[in-house]
Amino acid sequence: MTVLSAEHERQRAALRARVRAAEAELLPVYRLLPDRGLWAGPAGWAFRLRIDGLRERIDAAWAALAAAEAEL
Amino acid sequence: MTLEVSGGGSVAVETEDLLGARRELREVAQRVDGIHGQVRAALACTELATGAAAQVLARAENELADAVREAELLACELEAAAEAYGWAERVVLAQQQLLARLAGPVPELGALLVALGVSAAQHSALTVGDPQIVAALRHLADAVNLPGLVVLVRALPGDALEETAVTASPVTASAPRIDRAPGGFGDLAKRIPPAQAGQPQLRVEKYTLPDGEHHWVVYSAGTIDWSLEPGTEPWDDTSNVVGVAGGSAGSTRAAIEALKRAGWKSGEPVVPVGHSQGGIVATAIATSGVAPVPAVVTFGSPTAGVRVPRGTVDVAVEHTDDPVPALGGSPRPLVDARLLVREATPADARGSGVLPAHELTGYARTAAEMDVSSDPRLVAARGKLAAFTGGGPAEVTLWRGERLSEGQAAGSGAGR
Repeated sequence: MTVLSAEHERQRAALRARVRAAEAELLPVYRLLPDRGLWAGPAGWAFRLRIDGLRERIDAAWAALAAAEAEL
Repeated sequence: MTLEVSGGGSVAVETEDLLGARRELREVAQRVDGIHGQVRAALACTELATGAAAQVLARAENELADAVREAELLACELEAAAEAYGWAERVVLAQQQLLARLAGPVPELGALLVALGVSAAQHSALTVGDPQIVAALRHLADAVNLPGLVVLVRALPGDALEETAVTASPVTASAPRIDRAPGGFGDLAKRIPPAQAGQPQLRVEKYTLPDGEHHWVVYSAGTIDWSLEPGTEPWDDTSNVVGVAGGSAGSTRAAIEALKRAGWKSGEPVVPVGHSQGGIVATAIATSGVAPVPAVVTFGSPTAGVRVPRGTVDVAVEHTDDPVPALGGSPRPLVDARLLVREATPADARGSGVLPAHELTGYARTAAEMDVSSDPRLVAARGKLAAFTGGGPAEVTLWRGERLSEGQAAGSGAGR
């Protein structure tokens, strides 16, 4: 029983490390997002909305990963 | 560099910035997809995690999957979005030009326009290169029935817009000069003869391909004489108006005459290139059916409304602050094969004349930018040009067209 629990804990630690690694890899993605102010005019406005939406999804994924790490 | 390339079939608008943004979004999609894969793999181990951890991991997995889809979709839709921008821009400019048109010729309307929220300073600040004025000219050209106008003007006393017979003579009496093939759009622009009184208006290049077939490139200058009443110069306003109206302009006939006298035979393909009125000449050659025309290249020409034959690569370069292309009316629908390259005149390449954005030097700079563009349609057009010349060398001759008086025409047998 003790052996099983230790193995379980080791696997949880490994999982936590994988989640942390995913978080770390996600951060540089922000820098790759195109300049949201690239264009003026109506399509520029639409483009900014789309980029903002994409950024929000990445924010949400990052927050969820951070929460998962905390739970593990 | 902010070249805007429109048309060419599948894609409507594309800029270097747009290509960069697409690349960035694809990189984002690829990276996030990789992270998504890691999280999915982690989720497969959720028996190790508590319920709450599994729940938030699943949420992260969903958000990442959505982010990948969103980035890929946005990369794909970027061109469509840019096209929507182009159309919206045209709508806004159309509104502005309407106000500008009212404010110019009818000063009394100034007070009314002020009441409508358009400032007097805005009126006085408008110059011929302002986008509003350029759009106004385009709108005006759309509204004018030019062939009808030509008929009306010809009915007035005098010889305004009366076409004449023309002839073309070689300026270089000796054997043709040998030159290398043009390396791209920049070379094409630089080879267009400058619009100078008494100087050659045409440059003709003959290429002999390995199979013995002859290919030709003809370069035409812009307007030299701005008077409506024709003198001896065919590159005049009569040719401008008659050419835009779809008539048989003297300059176009002189160009075809020069080709024939240079040795061009019926059926041999020709790539016409021109600046300003030279673009009218080039487009007229392409549409006349006189020769197979695999490509036509125009710089600052009022030929927006002219449709070239199917299969002809039609590259039109317009400075957004140049009023002359606007005189050709609104561009044709972007579903056809025309490549419309638009850019504001490079600041350090503006001329010092009446129309600084229209001068050939500025267009030559823009053409050089087109040569380093990675836009796939410009790359393809450059490839087509290279294949057409076969890499050269070119036999170059320079030609000067002249209008003939009725007496000279009767003696020479030249027609209108």
